[in-house]
Parts: sequence; structure tokens; C-alpha cells
Amino acid sequence: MKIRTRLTASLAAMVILMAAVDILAVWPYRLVVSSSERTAAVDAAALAVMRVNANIYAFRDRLTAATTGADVRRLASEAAELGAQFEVDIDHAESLIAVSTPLAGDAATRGALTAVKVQFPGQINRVVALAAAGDWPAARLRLAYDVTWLINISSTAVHGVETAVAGERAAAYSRAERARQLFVVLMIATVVASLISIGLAWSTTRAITRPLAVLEAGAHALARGDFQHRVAVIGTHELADLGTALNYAASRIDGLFGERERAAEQLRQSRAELAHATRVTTMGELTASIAHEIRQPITAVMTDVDTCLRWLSRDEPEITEAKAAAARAKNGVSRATEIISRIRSLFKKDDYRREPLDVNVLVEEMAGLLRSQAQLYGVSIQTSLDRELPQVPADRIQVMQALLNLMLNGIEAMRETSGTLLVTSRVDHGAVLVSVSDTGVGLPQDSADHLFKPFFTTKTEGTGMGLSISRSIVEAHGGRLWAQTGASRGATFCFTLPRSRTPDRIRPADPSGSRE
Amino acid sequence: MTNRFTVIGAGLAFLVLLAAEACETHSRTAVPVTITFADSTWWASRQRPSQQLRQFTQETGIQVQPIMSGGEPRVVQRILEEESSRADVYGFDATWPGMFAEQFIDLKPYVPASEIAMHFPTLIANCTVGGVLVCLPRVAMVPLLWYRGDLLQQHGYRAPPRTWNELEQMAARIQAGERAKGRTDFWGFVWAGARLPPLATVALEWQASEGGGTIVENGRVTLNNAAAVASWERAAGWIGSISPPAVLEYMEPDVYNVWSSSNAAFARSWPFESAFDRRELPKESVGVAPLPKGAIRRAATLGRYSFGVSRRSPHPREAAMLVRFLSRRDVQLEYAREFHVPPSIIDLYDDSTLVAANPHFVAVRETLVDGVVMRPSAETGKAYPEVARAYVDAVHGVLAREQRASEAAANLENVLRRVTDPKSAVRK
Repeated sequence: MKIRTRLTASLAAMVILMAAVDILAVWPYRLVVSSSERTAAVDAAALAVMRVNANIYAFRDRLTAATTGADVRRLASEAAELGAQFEVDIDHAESLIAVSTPLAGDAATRGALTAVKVQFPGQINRVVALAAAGDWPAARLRLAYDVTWLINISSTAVHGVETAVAGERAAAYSRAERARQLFVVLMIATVVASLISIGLAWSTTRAITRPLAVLEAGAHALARGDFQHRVAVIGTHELADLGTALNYAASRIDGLFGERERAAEQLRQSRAELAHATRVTTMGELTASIAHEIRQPITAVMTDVDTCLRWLSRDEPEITEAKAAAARAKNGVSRATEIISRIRSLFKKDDYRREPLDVNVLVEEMAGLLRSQAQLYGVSIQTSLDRELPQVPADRIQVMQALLNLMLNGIEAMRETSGTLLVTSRVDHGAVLVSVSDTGVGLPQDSADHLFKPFFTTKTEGTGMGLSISRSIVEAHGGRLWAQTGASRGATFCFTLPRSRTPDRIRPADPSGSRE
Repeated sequence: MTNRFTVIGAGLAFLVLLAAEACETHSRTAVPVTITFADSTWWASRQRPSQQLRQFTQETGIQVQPIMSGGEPRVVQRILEEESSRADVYGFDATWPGMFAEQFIDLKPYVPASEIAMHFPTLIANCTVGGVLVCLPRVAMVPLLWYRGDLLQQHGYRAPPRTWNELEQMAARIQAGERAKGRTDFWGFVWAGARLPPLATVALEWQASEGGGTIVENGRVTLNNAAAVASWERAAGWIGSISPPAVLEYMEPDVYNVWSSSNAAFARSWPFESAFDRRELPKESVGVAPLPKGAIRRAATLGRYSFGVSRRSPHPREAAMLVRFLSRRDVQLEYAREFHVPPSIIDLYDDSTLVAANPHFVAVRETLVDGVVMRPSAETGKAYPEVARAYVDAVHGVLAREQRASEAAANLENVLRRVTDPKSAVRK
């Protein structure tokens, strides 16, 4: 069921429940109100009837008193006064009885009151008439017997209203009891209605929050890169649709990401191959220098071997000297072997490997390798190395290639002019910073943007790949490579290698420089 | 989802059940038939008749609700015609059948003829209008002459007066004798002379007993005659001589009050229940006799009461059962025993025990057998109250010496001719 439908249904159910409880609440309220109204009406009627009864008593007693004085005028005026008062009171009593629920149906009480109402004026008239006729004893007898009889009748009315009052009190009590019971029922109903409402609210809320929590967890997993995560789809409502959509998105992202991984891997391989090719090409350019480098120890070895032979060829062979010369020759061979193996490594197509690297050593090796090449152009290589330089985790071959590129570029830049290539190392902001400065022609204006782009070159024989590959190597190590144009002449290229690298996966950065 | 709606449904059902349960208490079971019973005199002795009504309810299961009805015809008529205040059973005055016959059902289908025949024919005749039995008597209410037996003896009389003349003489003599003893406020004869309806019965008795007619007979006004005029003149002569001047303001209660407090020798009064409630006089000094005869006959009017069933009663059968019950022999017997009220059933007067306890029953029977005079309500119908009022006014004028009897009779005859003219709109 749709969440909207469910919310509407829940709300409607709660409204109906509350309305039902309200209707139930009206019950005892009405009971109590009508009860009090009835009781009040009966009480008022009872009071009025008692007043009538008291009037007749007063009538009898006051007129009896008046007859003793035998004053007709006084009697007549008293009678008129009492009669008027009686009329007002009995009308009042009758009207109250007519609207009082239990008394309106009490024919006995109403009848008694009617009897009194009918008889009373006649009695007044008769008493006054008898008195006016001078028959005071007859008037007194009237008062004594017939008005007393009237009192008896009015007393039955009083009895009637008293009974009604008592009955009404009892009824009021039982109604109050009933109302009390209804209040208990109402409380139970309220509790039941509340429980049902709570249940409805809870289930409706849960119907929303549970799938939401699942969706939230799914979204978090997606953000974390866990594209394999799939949310559980509950029900058939809108959030279930959302869950399905999220799962679909996750699977799409997962697919795309896999493709990207594969593409990146391909790129890495291509890049490594390119780097290798570049290295080989560079090595080709360095042939003279390499030959010179290797020849030096070999020439020394030749000399040492000659010396050794001479010492041995003497009549008295000088064994000690010969041994020393042989040892030197051995050292020279070792050095040559070392040089060769170092050069060979540049030709190797090795896998990427990370290990602690002393950049200073590397700089000196490269300086040694390139020195003879540099001398061809009248360039001297100088180094200014920070001896306290920490080791950095790096791929030796790659860093060597980058450094070689920069140094060769510097030497190349001073080909016509000769000069000095200065390589420095120092610690900068926790990273190792290496700079390669030349005193050559400098960089062309506005070339900074293009320097590091593939196939950009200022040289006639360059592939245009050197700086681009170098930058990608440095960035793959978490560092930066940039160029500084000297104030007067020459150029400086700097790169940094951080001491530690946070990204968990080190990949060669793509030429566009985009990062994960 | 399903069980969730089950829970909601159960909750709602619970609330509905609560509501239904609360509603349940408002429903009522059907009540048995209730007969409303309207009678003004019922209230005079409210307790005992209520016992009889309870007995009726026990016997039949029919509830009875007594209500008050005014005794005056004007009030009665209003009650009869008012939809809201109508009753099923009404207590009748003797003049009612003639006035209100069309408002009541014929009881003959509900009461066996044998039961009807048990009552004095005079009473049944009064209840029968145009062959329709509109009421059934419960008591036989006739006026009697109440006398002081002790005073009669003291002044040399052995028996009560049989004629008005004897009454005049005896009253004068006893009055004189008593006044000689210093009782200056003692009177010979008291009667209801106030200018009110009871005077109509009193005066009718005088004139009828003298052969002066019964006011209207066979559509003719019969009062402007010498006998009637003489009877009024004689009564006027009583005032100040044997009757107190205040008798012109007396009503029936005053008559009995004055007589029973030893202030009069004779009284024309009714054997109401209340007459036996009071025992100021020693029993042996109370004498009751039929009214004195005139030159022609004895004439006693009929009082209340009998019972009839309203034509608009929704329960005529049950209402008739109540009427029949109230007239029943055993019920009347009990009522007579308790309240000394004369029954309407003839053979109860043969009950020696009952008669011994109620010596006035002899006078009642004598009156009923020979001496009842009907007020002309059957003749005049609804105009009767007007006729009675005119009659009372005229007679009272004579008694008060405001006009001469012959003039009054002549004037009254003219008035009544107009009132009783069948072509007049007053009479229906």
C-alpha cells in the first residue's frame, strides 16, 4: 500500500476514533446535565408547592385571627391580599410543575393543586361573605373545617412533590452512578483509542523509517565506494521504488567503475611502456656518455692489469705490488659492472615497486652518469644536497627517469652556451624537494601551460614526452612537478616527493592530471 | 497490513458496542394500560378510595391514575373538551348526564343488565339519556333533614317533622327554648342559601314539594305559579325567624358546620363522607330523616355521584371495567361500611348490619323510592348552568327581600323562556 494512502487511512481512523470517544464523552455529560436540570426543576416546583401550602395555612390562621376581632373590612382586605398572593403562587407552582419532568406526569399532585386552585378562591369568598353577613361563627367554622380540608388536599400535593423530590434524588444518584460507570467506560475507550492511535502512528512511522534507514545505509555504502552493496526492498510503496532505483544506480556505478578500473590499468600499462620506450630512447642518446663512463673503469683496469703484469714480470716479482694492482683492477671491474647493471636497469621493463629511497644517492648517481655527457657541451654538474634528507617511499627507476629527464633537459638547454647544471635537495613542508637549475636559454614565453603536455617540445630531436611522463611519475608519488623561469636566464624545474603517501592505491596519474 | 486493520476494526467495534450498551438502558418495555380517573370528590377521602383503586389494579392489571377535575360544569366542560387534559373515567354529578351525554359512551354493552337492575331505578333513569346509559351510580346521594334528636325530646317532640309546616313550628319552638337558655346565636333551621348553585337544589325541593313544578318540564317553563311563589315566600319568611340572616351566604359546608357545632336544630344537608368524619355531637343526638313534604309530595334532588367513560378514551373497555368495578355490590358495601355513604344498590339497604350502623340509610331509601326530583338538566341540556344561575339569582333576590316573589317568578319565566327556547342558539 502506498505511504500516502496509509497515512490518509491512519489519519481517518484516528479521527473516527477520537470522534467516537468524543461522542462517548457527551453521554455522561448530558446525563449529568439533564439530571441536575431535572433535580433543580423538581426542587423549584417542590418549593413552590410548599409555598402554596404555607399560604393556605397562613390564610387560615390570619383570617381566624381576623374573625376574633369581628372586623369585616380588615378580614376582607386580608383575604384579598392573601388571595392575590395565593393566585400568584399557585400559578407559579403549576407552571413549574408543568416543566418538571417527573411532576408533569404526576396526575395526583397536579390534580391536588388544581383542586386547591379551584377551591381556594371560593373558600375566601365564602369566609368573607359569611363575615359580611355577620355570621362570624360560621366563618370560623369554614376556616376550621373546610379550609383545613383544603390544607389536607394541598398537603397531598406537598407529599407528591416531596415524593418526586425523593424519587428524583434517587434517580439523580443512579444517573450519577451511571455517569460514573460511563466515565470509566470512557476512560477505557480513551485508552483503547489512544493505544490504537499509537499503534497506527507507530506502524505508519515504521513503514517509513525502516525503509528509509535501509536506504540511508545504502547511500552511505555508495558514498564509501562500496558499489556491491544492495538495499533490501521492503513492500511496494514509494520508498521501495526508491530502493529499487538506488540498487539500479549502484549496479550502474559498479559497472562504470569496473570499466574505469580496467581503463586505468590499460593506461598504466601503456604509460609504463611509453616510459620504458622513452627511457630506451634516452639511453640511446646517452650512448657516448655511457661508453665513456664504462671505459673509464675499464681503462683503469687495463692500467692496473699492465702494472700487475709489470710487477710480476720483474726478476724479482713484486708480489705485493702486483696483488695491489690486481685488487685495484678487480675494483675497477666491479665498478664497471655496477655501472652496467645500473644502466641495464633503465632498460628493464620492471613492475612498479615502492621502497625507501635516498634521493641524494640517486642524484649523485645520475650526476655521475651524465657528467661526461655534460662535459661534451662544456657543462659542469654541481650538486647541493641536504645531508639530513630523509628517505621517501618511491619507485627508484621511475624517480631516476624523471630526474634524468630534467637533468638532460637542463644540459640540452646549455648545449650552445655551456654553463652549470645545479641539482639541489632539501626538505620542504615535510616533503623532499629536488630542484634542477640550468643557466641555459630559459623557457619560451607563455610555454608554462604547454610544457607538461604530451608531445610538446622545443627541441629538434625531442619526443615531447619527457616532461609529461616526469610529471605523471611525480604525481603518482603524491608530489608535484613545476617549472620556474629564472629572473635573468636559465630555468629551474622542481619536484617534491612526500615522505608518506596517503592514497591507498598508487597509480600512475593520467596525463590530464585528474585525480581520484 | 491485514492484522493492523483487524486491530482498528476491533477497536471501533468495541466503541460501537459501548455505545450500543449505553443505548440499551434507554429502551423501555411496554407499560400496561393506564386509566385516568377524574373526580373532584375523590379527594375528600383520598386514602380509602385509593385502596379500592389498588384493588381494581390487582384484580385486572389495569393501572389507574386519579386526577383532579373541577366540580363546576364550566370547568368540567373545559376538561371534557380539552384534548390534553381528558380522562378516561369521570365522576358524575346528577346534572351531568343531561348536559354532557354525547361526551360519554353507552355502558350497556359493558355491563350486564342484571347488574344495572341492581341499582335504584331513579338513579339508572338519571344516568340514561335517550336510551343510552352514560353512567353507572356508585352512591345514592340525596339531601336529608338532619335534626337534633336530643333537643326534639327536650322540647316535647318524638319524631322529626314530616312537612315543612311541622318543621317551621318545631324549629321556632326549639329555637325559642334554646334562646331562653341563653343561647342567643341558636337557630331553628339552616340550609344553603348563598347565591350559588346549591340554592337551586334547595329551592327546587321547596317548590316541587308544593307542586310548583321543576322549573322546565317538557320544554315549558313551570315556575311562575302560586305554589312556587308561595314556597319562596315562605322560605324568605324563615330568614331572621328560624334561619340566620347569614343563611343567605351559607353553602353546604356552612350548613353542616353550624348544625354540627350545636348552633341549629335542623339542617338540610347531604350524607357526605365528611359528615361522618366529624363527631362533635354525640351519636344519639344526631337524627336523620327524609326531607319534609310539601303540600303535594316529598322532593329531594339528586347529588353526585356516578361514573361514566369518555367517548374519547383510548381504552373504553378497561375504563368501563373500572366503572363497573366501582359500582359493584361488594365494593359499594365496603365503601358504605367505611364511610357511611349510601349505596346505590337496592338490596344493600336490606343488610341489617349495615343499616344498623347507618340509620340514615332508611331515610335515604325512603327518599329514593318516593321523593326524588330531577333538576332539569335533561330538559335544558348545556343551557342548564345558565338556567340554574338565573333561577338562583331570582330566588336569592326573593330571599334577600330584594324583590317580591311573584315579580321574580314572572321575570324569571321570561328569562328562562329565552334561554330554553329550542330556536335559541344558547341551547344546543
